[in-house]
Amino acid sequence: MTLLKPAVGRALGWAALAALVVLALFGLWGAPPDDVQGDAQRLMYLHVPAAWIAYLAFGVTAFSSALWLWPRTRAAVWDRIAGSSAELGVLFTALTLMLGSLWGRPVWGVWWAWDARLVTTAVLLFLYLGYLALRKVPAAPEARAKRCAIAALIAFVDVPLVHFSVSWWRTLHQEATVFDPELKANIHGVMAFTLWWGVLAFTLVYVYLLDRRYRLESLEEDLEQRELEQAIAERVAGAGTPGRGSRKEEVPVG
Amino acid sequence: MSDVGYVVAGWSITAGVLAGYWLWLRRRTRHAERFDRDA
Amino acid sequence: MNLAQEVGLVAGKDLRIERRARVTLQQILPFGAIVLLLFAFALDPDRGVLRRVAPGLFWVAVLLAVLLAVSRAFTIETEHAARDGLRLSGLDPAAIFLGKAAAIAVQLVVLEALLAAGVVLLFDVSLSSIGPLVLATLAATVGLAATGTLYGVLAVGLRMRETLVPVLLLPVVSPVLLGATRAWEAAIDGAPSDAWPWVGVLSVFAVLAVGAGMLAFGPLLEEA
Repeated sequence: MTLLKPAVGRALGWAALAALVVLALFGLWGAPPDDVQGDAQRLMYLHVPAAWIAYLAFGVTAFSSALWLWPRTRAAVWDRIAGSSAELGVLFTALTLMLGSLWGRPVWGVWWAWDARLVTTAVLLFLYLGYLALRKVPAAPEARAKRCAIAALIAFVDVPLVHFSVSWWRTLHQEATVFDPELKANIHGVMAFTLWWGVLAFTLVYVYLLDRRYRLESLEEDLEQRELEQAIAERVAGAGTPGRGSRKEEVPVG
Repeated sequence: MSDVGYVVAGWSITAGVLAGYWLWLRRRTRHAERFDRDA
Repeated sequence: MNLAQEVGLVAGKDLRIERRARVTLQQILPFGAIVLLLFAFALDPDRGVLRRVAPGLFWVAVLLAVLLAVSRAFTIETEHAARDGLRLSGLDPAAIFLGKAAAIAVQLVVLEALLAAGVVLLFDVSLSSIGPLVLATLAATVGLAATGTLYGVLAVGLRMRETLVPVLLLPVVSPVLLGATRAWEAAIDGAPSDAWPWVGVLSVFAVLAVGAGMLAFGPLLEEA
């Protein structure tokens, strides 16, 4: 029912929270403002980790989908992980884009730029949303899992294609200003530490939330399954009673 | 908006989104558990 | 029957249905043309804007038409338990995939040729460097048809099919839109050598799409 033992999950939650607090301390106060970007650079301590998790979650969804599709490893757990990770992926992708936009406005002067990383992340968001829409379609668990798994793998192969073609397109049209979303090369010392700490903190948050979301997914699927069995049992019971003819019953539709 | 405004906005929205999602998960899980118990 | 014959059988069936129903010619083509017209209303027809963005508008119109073509290709399989018929026919699922995708591709090519004529007429575009233009278009069409067929079978039988397929398909084929538009721009602007790399990208996409479709069509058809 859960991926981690309950005590481990709880401990992880506290660890994640503590890590986030430390990140805030360093990101908002401990680390100095950047020479070029000023205080706006502090958004990078969230934007870069969020982007990392957005792509990690995507990879987890794709990998779990592959494990589900492979007959020898097929098990409900992989489908549930894929779905849970996808929901987290949407969350962190949206955060990435929002934070990137808030960073871009003071630093580049624009809310958005058409460079490969940003565009690919935007496409990633839409790929996720499509996957989640597919997941919400009512269906037998096996059928739904198969459809979603295939959709996830297609999306996974598509992302490098998108990145490559957009990247090429933009280098051909490169204008005077070179947009450098990460500026990692200029970061050292406390700033580098804060950035890496952010990656660590967000990873803890992701694993913790994945475990909780997985638990919810298991509960809801079991619930659906039980409702279905109940509905079938009621129908069978109603039909199998002799001499009652057409007994009208309200059967819950799952 | 000065730079600080963007930073504050970004950090508070992030905190809000993460907290909000966690709360939403908790609510949905409790709701599902209730049905689990009734079964 | 070998694979090629099975593909021909399925493609032939779909094209024969199309010849009788004429949905592509009578509904999808006008739709594409109307989209081009609407772009002219939305943009400024007087200042050379349309000529500059014509390749992009053309391919957006084609993309939207693909959605209709895919929807149509699988609507015909929802009648008379056709899906069960396909499953029980003993045909290789990969052949069914290739056949349906081929039929869509043929319809798309006809559509594109006519819409291209429309673009030349309405947007004052001159189509030079036909070579890279045609190859880019063919590669893009194969990629679109294959991906469309894959998502079409994925969603067939689902109640929300009409809104699901666009949401799933369009992000995935964005590299095709990008590549095809750039190839056309290069060809039209008289720098055809710039088009060839994009033809390469489109070809890679097409190969991957066909491969993915051949693998996934069978399992998806089972669940349909």
